[in-house]
Amino acid sequence: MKDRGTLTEAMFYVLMSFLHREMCGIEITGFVEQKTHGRVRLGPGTLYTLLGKFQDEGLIEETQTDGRKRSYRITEKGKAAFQDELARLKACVHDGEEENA
Amino acid sequence: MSKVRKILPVSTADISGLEKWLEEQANSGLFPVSIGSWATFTTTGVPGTRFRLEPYGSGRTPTEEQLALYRSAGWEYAFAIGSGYYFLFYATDPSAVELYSDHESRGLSLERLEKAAQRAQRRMLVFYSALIAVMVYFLFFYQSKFDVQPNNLAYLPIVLLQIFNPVFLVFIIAQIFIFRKNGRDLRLLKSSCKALKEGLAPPPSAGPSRKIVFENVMTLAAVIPLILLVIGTQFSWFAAYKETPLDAFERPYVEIQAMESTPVYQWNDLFEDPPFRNSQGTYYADVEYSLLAPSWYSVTQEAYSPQNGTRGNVFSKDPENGANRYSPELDTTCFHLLIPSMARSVAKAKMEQYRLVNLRWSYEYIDYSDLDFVIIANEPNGIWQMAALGRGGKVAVFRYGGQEKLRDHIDLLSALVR
Repeated sequence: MKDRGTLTEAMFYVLMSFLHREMCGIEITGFVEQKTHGRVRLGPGTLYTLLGKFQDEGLIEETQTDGRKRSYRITEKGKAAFQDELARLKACVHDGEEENA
Repeated sequence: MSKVRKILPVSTADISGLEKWLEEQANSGLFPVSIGSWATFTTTGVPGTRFRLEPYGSGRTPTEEQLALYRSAGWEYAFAIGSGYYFLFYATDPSAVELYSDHESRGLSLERLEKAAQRAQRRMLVFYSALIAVMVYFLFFYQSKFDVQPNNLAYLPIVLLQIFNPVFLVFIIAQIFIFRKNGRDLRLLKSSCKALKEGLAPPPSAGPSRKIVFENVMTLAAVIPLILLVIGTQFSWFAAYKETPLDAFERPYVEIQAMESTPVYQWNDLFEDPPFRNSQGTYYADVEYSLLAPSWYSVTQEAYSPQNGTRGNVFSKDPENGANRYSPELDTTCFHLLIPSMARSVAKAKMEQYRLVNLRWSYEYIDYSDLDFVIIANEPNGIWQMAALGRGGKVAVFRYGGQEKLRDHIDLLSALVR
């Protein structure tokens, strides 16, 4: 069972995609694929579910709707969640590298 | 374009099982166009098509954003399944990325469905609990302020007969069946949701089974006649349910004229105006059904003397100006019970129903030749009397308002139980 506040890999990358600019769903898919060099391919169901969850939890907010295209931006709460997860992952990597040295 | 219909062999809560079954149908050239208790296909299926069930979002159709996202990944929307369940998407391109890239997000997507199913189950429980509470209250605790001789348990045998009404039985069985099926589906959904949210694979699909086919066939077999029966009863399609004029009623009953020592007539024989109590006149019969009492009917008769009578009666045409007319009434209910040992308690229950609650009754048991029992009830100083007669599984209960003494007519009345 995941601890409260931790993010899955897909959640982490979706939040990361908003750090520098607003994005719509299809742009997020491209960003994540490019960022991970194809290692992480977000399924449309995963992305749509996460966008809904993040909106409900106030981690992102909708900025505009242009026909079928909806754009979102990250909120301060979303940035904090991303930073928390980043710190947790860094600690994990640090612990792993230290033990592996 | 020809269509093929198949009963669903998998539960709609078995998501991967249903997806796999649809893919097998596509491999045999069938493409689904609707799914309910049965699935309808056209013969346009493309082998290798993948199907995925997506839980409903906030609306009853996918959002524009969802459609655009899914289409960009190679998935097309087919149709919605059920009322509050899934959207069906399909992909014919083998390279189309799977809808969900991890178990957790799939689990999250099912959360709304799980909660909706839980709410529906809870609503159903609350509804039936309230219904049972109201029934129990009226059966055991309700007491009219006018009732001078309350007996809360007295109706139970009649209630038992009514429970064994075929329509009610089918309804109850269907409700229990649906409740159990929904409960099982909810458990499956919850276990899938829980596993997925923990990052684990969902429980393996049970796949197609004859049991599910049987359940779906039985649901259809029960629901369709039930709807027809309920609607038919409301619109009196079944003649036996409605108030039948006695002229057209063929079962035995005691004619009120045969009991009266003075001549009496039907309303229509004396008056031109229509009777005010009901549109069928003052002579009619009602038939009820119970598996415990295959023959169960009531007959209502009101008669009127041709001259102004000797006593007032509320059913007189003009009781206010002193020209009151003698108008006796005889209500009869006959039962032929499958279980003869119920006869006495059913007779007493019917007397309790016939009892006018603001009167105080005295009951007397009489031994009478070959009858199992004869109960006479009187309300002293009044015009009302009751009688219940039983022999084997046959019971006849009478309520009479008039100048005759029922105990003087037992021979005549007992014809109905012989």
